[in-house]
Amino acid sequence: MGKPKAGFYSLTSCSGDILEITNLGEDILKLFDLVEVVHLNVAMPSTGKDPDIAFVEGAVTSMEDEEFLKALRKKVKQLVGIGTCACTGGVIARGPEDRRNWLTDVYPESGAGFDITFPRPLKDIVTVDFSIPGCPIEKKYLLHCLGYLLKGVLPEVPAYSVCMECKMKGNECLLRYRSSACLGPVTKAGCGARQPSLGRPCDGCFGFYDDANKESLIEIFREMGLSEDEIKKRFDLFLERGL
Amino acid sequence: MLFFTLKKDRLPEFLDAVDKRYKLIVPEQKGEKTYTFRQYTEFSKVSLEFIRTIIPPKKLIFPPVEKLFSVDKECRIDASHEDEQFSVIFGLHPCDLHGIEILDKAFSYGGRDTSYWRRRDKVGFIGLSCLPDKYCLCKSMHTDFIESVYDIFLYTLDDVYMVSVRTALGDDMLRLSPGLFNKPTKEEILEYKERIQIRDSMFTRIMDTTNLADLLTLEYKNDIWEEYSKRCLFCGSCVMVCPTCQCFDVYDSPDVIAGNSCRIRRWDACMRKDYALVTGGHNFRGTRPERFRFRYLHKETGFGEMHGKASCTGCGRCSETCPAGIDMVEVVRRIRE
Repeated sequence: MGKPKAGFYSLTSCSGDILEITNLGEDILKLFDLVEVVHLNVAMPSTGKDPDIAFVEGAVTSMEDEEFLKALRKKVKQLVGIGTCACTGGVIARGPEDRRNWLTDVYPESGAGFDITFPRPLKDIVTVDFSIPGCPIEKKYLLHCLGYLLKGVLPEVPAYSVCMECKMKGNECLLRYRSSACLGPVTKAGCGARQPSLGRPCDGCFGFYDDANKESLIEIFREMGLSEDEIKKRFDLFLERGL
Repeated sequence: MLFFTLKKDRLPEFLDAVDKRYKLIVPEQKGEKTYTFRQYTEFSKVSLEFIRTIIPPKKLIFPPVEKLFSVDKECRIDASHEDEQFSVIFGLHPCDLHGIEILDKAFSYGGRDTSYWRRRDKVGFIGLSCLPDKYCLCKSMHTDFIESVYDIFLYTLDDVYMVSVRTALGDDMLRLSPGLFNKPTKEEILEYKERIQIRDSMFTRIMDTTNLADLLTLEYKNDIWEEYSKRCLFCGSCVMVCPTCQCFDVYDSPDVIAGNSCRIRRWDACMRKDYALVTGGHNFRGTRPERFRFRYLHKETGFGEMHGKASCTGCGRCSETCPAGIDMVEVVRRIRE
């Protein structure tokens, strides 16, 4: 039995997740050792072979994206969404549903004819076997999941809040000590509390964790003096669309 | 127990001597108002006036995430560990020393936990007296003094530390720089007695713990559990910062880079929804009020039934850290009403 074939594909996104893979450094050689990489855009020309397992970043924003994804799903045994855009639509799915006027505003002559739909997560189009959230994804988290996925098992990922990870790292609470509107208490762990460890509040890119008490955190933000609009914007960045 | 005095300006010499012989861990400032235990580098970085560190010293003996063993492709098990240097932790307050005592019991119950005791057997403690802030509850929990666990304890007086030496290890440490220690004078003993009284009068928060275990059990169905569970974020911060919370999860993780599979143990929290989830989908504490209540019952009742002592040391970390501002004293006061 040969090595499993893996493909890494981009739909509409900033390519941040694929870039994280190319940023693996020396570990990328291990990745090439472990799987036969048949497609890794931005890093190598496609081999044209069909993968056994596909990792897809980005949201579906056109009929072209949609058809590509459907065709890919038919070819692969496992389809894994990587990055928050693939999981929820991500930041590009904020704002109004109807965007045709944006196109004609920016491209008065050709805009109306563009193939564009409202950004949708992969799961709205095809069956997704597993989602790896993050904006961008965490290298360690991806490798951790890969270990399970290549064995055909669903990965064991943390089912708790960023706060637990943040405390395990020994950070001081940004909500308590710096009155910072941190979304850690409602956000799924897995990033190693990346932002709070650097003194920046969590923005929630991993999505709500299973038992998140959103109502209480909103109340706490109000008590901290945040306006309803500010609160809405905090939650709207990543969390509201759900994973 | 032997008593000596150590001039305050000679403490750097003493710590330098300890650091030369052992791996010395000390409290240092982290944020504007927060502190943490770190390896000693120089005396000027050591905090002597801190109240509590963000994470209790348990992290040094029972790390948040640790590899128990790994298995390679040929199914060979590697449970080897780096032979750690004997370390001495300086600056533990009585509450944290009580915390260690409780962990010692918990990790011995039903057999010695090898991973815990491997580290615990190679650590010594230099305690340090403290003055309470608005979160300190040790007086109410009867943990404001400690007579066990430590090797050396320093009581801060005006010009000197009153030094209590409890163990042979403590004596060894003293002998690293014997010229620094003197016999206490009558005046110093008097000052020590006054200090105890002054400290005792400084506690602003008192929690009535009379029959608390009974009361919490009797008030099992009180509405306040439901009320507080609406406010609680179930983020698990209180559990992570608790000096006596010792629950952990064990899972296997394939490491694609190393080409093996590791068994990991990681801190866990009873506030988590699937903490009490078992095979078949039954959850012993499926609702939020049940989980909120459980933590209080466990801290004040459960451990006591086994070991005759509540597992809350009154360190105040949970109340200080809670992002929702939930305070144990208030919860207990409401239960008493």
